[in-house]
Amino acid sequence: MSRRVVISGTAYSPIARHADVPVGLLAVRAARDALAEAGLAPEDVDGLANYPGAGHVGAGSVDGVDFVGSRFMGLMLPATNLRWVGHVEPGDFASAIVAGVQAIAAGTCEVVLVWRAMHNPRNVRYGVVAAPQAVGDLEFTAPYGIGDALSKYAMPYSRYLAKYGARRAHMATFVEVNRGNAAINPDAVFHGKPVTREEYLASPMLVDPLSLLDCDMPIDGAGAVVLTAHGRAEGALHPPVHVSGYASLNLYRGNPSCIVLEDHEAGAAAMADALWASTSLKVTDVDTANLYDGFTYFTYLYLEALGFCGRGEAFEFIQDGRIARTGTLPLNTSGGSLGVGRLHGVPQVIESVRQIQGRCGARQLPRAEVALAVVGQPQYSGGYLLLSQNGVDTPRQREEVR
Amino acid sequence: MKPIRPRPVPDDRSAGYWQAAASEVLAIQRCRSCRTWAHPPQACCEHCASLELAYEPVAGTGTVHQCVIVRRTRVAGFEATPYAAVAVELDEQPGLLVLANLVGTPADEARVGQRVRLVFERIDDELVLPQFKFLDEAEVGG
Repeated sequence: MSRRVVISGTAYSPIARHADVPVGLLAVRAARDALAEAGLAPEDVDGLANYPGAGHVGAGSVDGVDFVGSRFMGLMLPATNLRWVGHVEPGDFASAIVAGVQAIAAGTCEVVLVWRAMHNPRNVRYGVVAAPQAVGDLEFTAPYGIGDALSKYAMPYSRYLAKYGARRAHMATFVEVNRGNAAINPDAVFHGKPVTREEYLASPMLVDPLSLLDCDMPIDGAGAVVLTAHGRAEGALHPPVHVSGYASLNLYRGNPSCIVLEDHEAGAAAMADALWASTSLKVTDVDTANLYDGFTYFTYLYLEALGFCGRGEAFEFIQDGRIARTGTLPLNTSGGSLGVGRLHGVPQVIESVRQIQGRCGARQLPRAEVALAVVGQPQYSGGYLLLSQNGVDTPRQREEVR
Repeated sequence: MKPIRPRPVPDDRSAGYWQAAASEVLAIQRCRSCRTWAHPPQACCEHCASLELAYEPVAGTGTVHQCVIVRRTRVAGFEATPYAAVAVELDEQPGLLVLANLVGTPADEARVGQRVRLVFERIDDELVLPQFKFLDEAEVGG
């Protein structure tokens, strides 16, 4: 059998640069709030799915402190009626959601909780390569002062700029729009703090070509969603949103020690092909997109791979008001990871759900029946989710309806 | 205490690379069967699955495929900024990239598409790093 799957609850924890409680408890709070929104209780949860990775180089490894895995969540929620637990690694929030969707579609369980939590430790410089032993992927990079996320991801952006002729002035449009959206999003760490083009252009270079304002902001926080079999969450506070297409290919491609633009492009293209093969919806049906922006330029690669524009054209596509809330493709209306905070795809998914539900207040779009959430790092693909108000089904499900 | 700059820890797969570098030779892993070059070194040839791999010297010339200028470093032991890192596509094979620093010129001058050639930088008694500098076209073809 193959059952229809909906997202029936979403929640953020409070988000701050540093929290006064362990991130594990923030994740449990988000999980309980998402369940309450779905009209469900912890004992209703029969499945857990997550990407447990701590998500930055040099992070600690204590469940509930440095990351939040199934052990901590299962114990503290508490989840006492589990039939299935899925871990996606490497992965991301949306890939974990895809795993949960599949578990429900297969009939393994009916209520799957998915979460993502991120910890920003005090008095520790975030994401530093400190080990004097350069081993594994760092063997050929750390001896050269490369290997933290910034220096690795600045590399392919340098090629994008040179190959296609993009400049920082193009990216200023994206940052201004994103941070303008975050400024009116009460869940965002940068609520009330817009950024102008001029501020972006004056932002200090960290690893050229990436400046401070090209990076998302490390935070303490968590987000959760509740997936249910269609019809299971009848007491949900808001109309459940249908999963109408998805892709998840967590396959690290290309050079493991040096991220290359062409590998980024190949990874995103493979995901886009898988997404559009999973649904009868087309790119022209998408009312709004929430594309992962852990580093600004990822959004260029996603826009191009998904077919919103041609390869090498995204930096021009985003101009002329096209990605504003009033434009033809409202983009990252939550403020994305740049504006909400470094929550690895939580803002992209939750905003897509809530725009469809019509709950986004000052940033609500007049039309949001189909929303696209894209999470991950382009070269390892990640998870893409196409969500809809009225439940267009995947090809396999359509066959069964016939 | 001064932070220690990260040092490569060679394993069975990579030992040949670092041994050659210590003698100021850039040697890249190559499949004896299908002749495909690979870097970083692999456990088997990822093109033909052969286990017959060996290190062979390369000419040491190439083109900057990607580059960064590190102004605020997050790697211990690299106090002096800015410094440039380049991913150099070696002339031997399309897509064969070696990452190193750009030396002998201000970091700000690093650009995608530049022609570069190999040089060696002795870090201490034990460690020699392959690096790249701008290729002076007058140096070649003689």
